[in-house]
Amino acid sequence: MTPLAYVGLAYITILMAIFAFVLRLTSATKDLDRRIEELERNKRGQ
Amino acid sequence: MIAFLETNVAKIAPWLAIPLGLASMSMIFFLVPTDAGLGISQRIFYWHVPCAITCYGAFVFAGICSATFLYTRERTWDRAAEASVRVGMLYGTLVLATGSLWARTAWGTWWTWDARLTTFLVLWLLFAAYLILRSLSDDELGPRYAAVLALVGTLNIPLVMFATRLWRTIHPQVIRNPNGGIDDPRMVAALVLSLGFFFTMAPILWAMQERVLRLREQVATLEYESENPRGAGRMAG
Repeated sequence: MTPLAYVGLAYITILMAIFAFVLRLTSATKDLDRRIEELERNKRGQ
Repeated sequence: MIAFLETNVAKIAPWLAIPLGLASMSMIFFLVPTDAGLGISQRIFYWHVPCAITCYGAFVFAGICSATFLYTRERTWDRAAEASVRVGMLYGTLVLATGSLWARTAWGTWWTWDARLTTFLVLWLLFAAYLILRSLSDDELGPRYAAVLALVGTLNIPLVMFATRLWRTIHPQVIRNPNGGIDDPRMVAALVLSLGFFFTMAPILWAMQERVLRLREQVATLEYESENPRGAGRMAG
């Protein structure tokens, strides 16, 4: 691998990691919001 | 303060982070001159160094929040500390990964037991232990032990920062190097833009992580209330 390839790999790694982190948090927020809505609906129904 | 950070800073930050990130990358790949000594691989430093500084910042913030939590026992501070450690660990892992890639090109090895590298690895392991402790403990003592661990980790940061001056090391000194380092104005501008990008990304990630932790607690409380309708209100999260 050439030094430029290592540079490119470093930048891709950072961008991909930040993107994956944001994606994971967004999906977790969506799931948790849905679960809260479901639990509150059940609570009101009791 | 935590609510202010979450509602205001995290709303403004994305509008700054995107142009800063694009400007920083344009400078690094098209405008910055190639370092005479280290060659093209030196370009890794423009994101490696800000990543490390932001990692220290996140861990220091986690330490402050942990100390406040130990003093006030308010869950908000504990949650803020955990979110900050998670963001710091992301940046810390990226520091290790990009540093390793640079070491492979410059030193011909992925890792060496240099003072800076070793102290940084110890810091990373301390905060990894923090996260393991958080995931294993579900009683009231867990957050307190974790807060103490975060304080120990934060106190370790000066050791990592000054490792290149305290011990003989082969790790390059990028900033304030009397024998060169980043001295060209374009290099300085690229580093400042990169710092801006990572500094603005950190509160965004922190706010998102803090929200997830808060929602998890809310789910746990609601699940507890639905299972124990009479005992509702006893559980704080």
